[in-house]
Amino acid sequence: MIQVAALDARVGTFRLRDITFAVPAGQYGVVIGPAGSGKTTLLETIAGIIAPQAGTVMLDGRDVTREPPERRRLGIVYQHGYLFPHLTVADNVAYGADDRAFAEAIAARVGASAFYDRPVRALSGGERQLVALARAFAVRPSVLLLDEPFSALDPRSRTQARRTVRALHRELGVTVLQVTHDFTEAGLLGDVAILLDNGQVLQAGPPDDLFRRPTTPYVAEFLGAENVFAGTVRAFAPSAADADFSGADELLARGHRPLEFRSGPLIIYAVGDAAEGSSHAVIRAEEITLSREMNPTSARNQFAGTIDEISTVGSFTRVSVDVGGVSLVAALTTRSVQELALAPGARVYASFKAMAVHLC
Amino acid sequence: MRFVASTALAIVASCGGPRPEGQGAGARNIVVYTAASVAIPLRAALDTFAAHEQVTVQQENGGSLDIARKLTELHQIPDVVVLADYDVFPKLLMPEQTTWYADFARNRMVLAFTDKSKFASEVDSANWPKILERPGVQLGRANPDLDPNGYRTLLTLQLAERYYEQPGLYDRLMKLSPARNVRPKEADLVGLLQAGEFDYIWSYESLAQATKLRYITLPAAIDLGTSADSAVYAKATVKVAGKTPNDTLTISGQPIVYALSIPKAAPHPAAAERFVAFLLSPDGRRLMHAHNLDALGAPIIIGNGEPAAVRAAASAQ
Amino acid sequence: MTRAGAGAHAARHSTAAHRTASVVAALLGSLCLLFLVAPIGRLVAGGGKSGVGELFTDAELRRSLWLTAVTATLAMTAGALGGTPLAYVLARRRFRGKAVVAAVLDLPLLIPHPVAGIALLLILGRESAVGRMLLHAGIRVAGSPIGIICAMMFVSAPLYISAAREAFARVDPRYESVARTLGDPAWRAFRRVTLPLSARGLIAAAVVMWARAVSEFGAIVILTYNPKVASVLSYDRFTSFGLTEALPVAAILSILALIPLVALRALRPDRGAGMDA
Repeated sequence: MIQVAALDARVGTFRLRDITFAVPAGQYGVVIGPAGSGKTTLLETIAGIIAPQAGTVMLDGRDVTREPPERRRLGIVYQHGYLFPHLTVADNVAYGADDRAFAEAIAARVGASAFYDRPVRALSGGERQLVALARAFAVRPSVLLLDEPFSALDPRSRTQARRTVRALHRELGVTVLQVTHDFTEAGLLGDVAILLDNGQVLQAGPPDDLFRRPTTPYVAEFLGAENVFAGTVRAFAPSAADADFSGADELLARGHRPLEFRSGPLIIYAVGDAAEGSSHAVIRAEEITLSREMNPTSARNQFAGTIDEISTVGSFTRVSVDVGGVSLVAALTTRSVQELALAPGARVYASFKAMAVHLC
Repeated sequence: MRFVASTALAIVASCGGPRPEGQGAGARNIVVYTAASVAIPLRAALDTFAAHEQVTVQQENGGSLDIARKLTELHQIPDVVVLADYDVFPKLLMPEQTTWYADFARNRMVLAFTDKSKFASEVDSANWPKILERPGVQLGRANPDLDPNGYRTLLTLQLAERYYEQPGLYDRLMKLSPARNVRPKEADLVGLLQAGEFDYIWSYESLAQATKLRYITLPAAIDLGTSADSAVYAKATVKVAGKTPNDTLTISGQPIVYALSIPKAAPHPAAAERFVAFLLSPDGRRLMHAHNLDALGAPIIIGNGEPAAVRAAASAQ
Repeated sequence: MTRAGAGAHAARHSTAAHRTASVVAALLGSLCLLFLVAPIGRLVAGGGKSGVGELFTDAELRRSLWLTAVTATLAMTAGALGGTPLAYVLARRRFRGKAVVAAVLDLPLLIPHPVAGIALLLILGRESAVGRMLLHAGIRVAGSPIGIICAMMFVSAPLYISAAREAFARVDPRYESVARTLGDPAWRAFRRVTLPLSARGLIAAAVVMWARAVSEFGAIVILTYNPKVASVLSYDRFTSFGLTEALPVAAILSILALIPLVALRALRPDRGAGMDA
């Protein structure tokens, strides 16, 4: 378990300010943030390589703020593996292990047996990262810190390495904290996501929370939300027959109410607890459905528009629809796009539920 | 490219070997090589001379043998040569470099020390051998092969053994300044004495005075300071290194007399003559006295072919 | 002049300018090379053979060479032992006044050598606090090989510290960080990772220090004239006997100076290998 409270650290002119978050034991934490946001500094402070100015670091319930790195029972893997060049792969993996057989087993698990006796400089980038991972796992850490360990790898190696880490994380029950600038990785890997920007935590919680309920438009945009609108919120009293709001009982019970959000020509219906006044609305592309015909569904938000642009990446396609001068981006499977025979210029209807609208 | 480079190399490389001294540019210069032990008084004389005559003075100091070698081996010829050992002239420099030299000042061996020295309050001209033999006393001396002061020390010690009629005194006194207490020149000893590394050093009276050291004088029969005692001095002999490490030169005791000469190939002979004439004049002698150098009332010229101005200055009393 | 003509003229002009620059560079380079090589070449050509012969006949020369080698090696060892931690701290840690400390450490390189000797005398001589303590313990500095070693260390240790600092700086601190997370306390990480990775640089630095120690004269001669190290002997031979006697000694010393140079060359990292792991 990793618990960081009010952590303040300084490296040169860069400062981490008031960092607080927690990754429960055995879970996978992901730190997301743009370049220069302090992600590596954060990892190195947790590792004890950098001494904090204030705050505490607790690992597995133990306050390790004053402990040197060698007593924290953790491992760290950097983007550049930092394999010791003067040692073989075997000696690297076994460097801190008290059990050489265990080290060799870990190396095999990671897929490094093929080059176990080779000198380090004969390895490819992907192979090096695997060895670095094995080396970190071989000391039986309770916490593993990963600093963008896969970003320098080609896609295939990246997938393989990711899978291996995930598997070992589960098998060995290690708490992982991984840094990435790629937010899709966060969605794929993480139990806890921490968004770091300019030395401060903007939001922390389950990745879903960050994606669907970003606290600020900046967070939303950083996490790749494509439909972010600025506008005004007003209270709204729906009619009893309004189906879209009927599923919102739970939310209504919690004090969320139906709201009307106006942004330029767009009027969007949402359910939330935002106060009246200026606000932002975020709708994830995956929540928007497209149809050729006007669809009498329960979705209160339905807009007619013309397809602007279609971009396909593998099995996913993003369709940009011009609705009264405003762009709505929908994410569909490529297959759906083909079935609907969507093409730029086509008239479609874009719809999404009131509950899919997040106001911040 | 390579052609230009190799041509340049060839041209420069063909300029080989040392060249003989040509006539120096500018008669407004005078180059003097001085024995270290008279460097200061000679400097004063040169400065006075330079002020009157508006010449630029270049003075280089060194051991007498050192200086002699500059002329004979390196072919660096100055205008005036001033040596602490007049013997070097006939032995090494005549007749190739010069045909005459003039004795102009004298000196004597003393035992120099400071207030910090051990037993400084007790030592005197009679008890110095006993003081030196007390434990913990560090005695320094100059290298006999490099500095006349070095071999004069040895001569003085031999004369002391004879004078005090104590056989074995020479060896005992030599043991007190073993190889690690030897320095190239007397001048190198002064700094160490002042720093406290040595308690006593063998020095010249002129140098001890010039460096404001305390000193005790030694009996006239052993301190190489009086011409009258030449016969006594001659009884002591030492062997020093000769032209090669395997050669030795035997030197017998002689009074310490300073001599100078103007080399045949001096670059500025006119200025050299005027300077020597000044040095040998009563004004020059007064200047040297003021700087602790015992200038002879009547300079003695040995050899022949000396410039007229020099002869005149020596005979004018 | 037509446009094309002007362009061509400019092109020809610049080629001529280039050619002149190249010629001047070649000239200056050749002169510099000659200046550095010719004196030693002449020395070895003039005295090399007799110098080698003298190695067998001249006991004083042999003793002097042996003394020089031993004192330089001891100075190098002491300097490396003391200088390595200092170099490491300078390479790794940030602290107030670091620039001042680094500058002060370079001072011995800048002061005239006899001045260095005098400075050492003030600190280690018979009259100084340290000197007195050492004398009580029976150790004499001035006039002994200890004095030689001290003088050698004073003038050569700064070179070692500088170069060792560079060698450490070239090892990415992250290697040490990784080693520490793997369970090594700081000193063990240093021993198992930093030291092997910087070993080449450190050895090269030590060789430079040794070479500098061997060539020192001015500081040594103030502290210890006898026994004579090679530099003092060559000066002595010259002033006592002149050029002919000094030449073989000077020549043999120049030849022996090749040893550290060859060692340095052997320590140059091979192309391609390095720390790209």
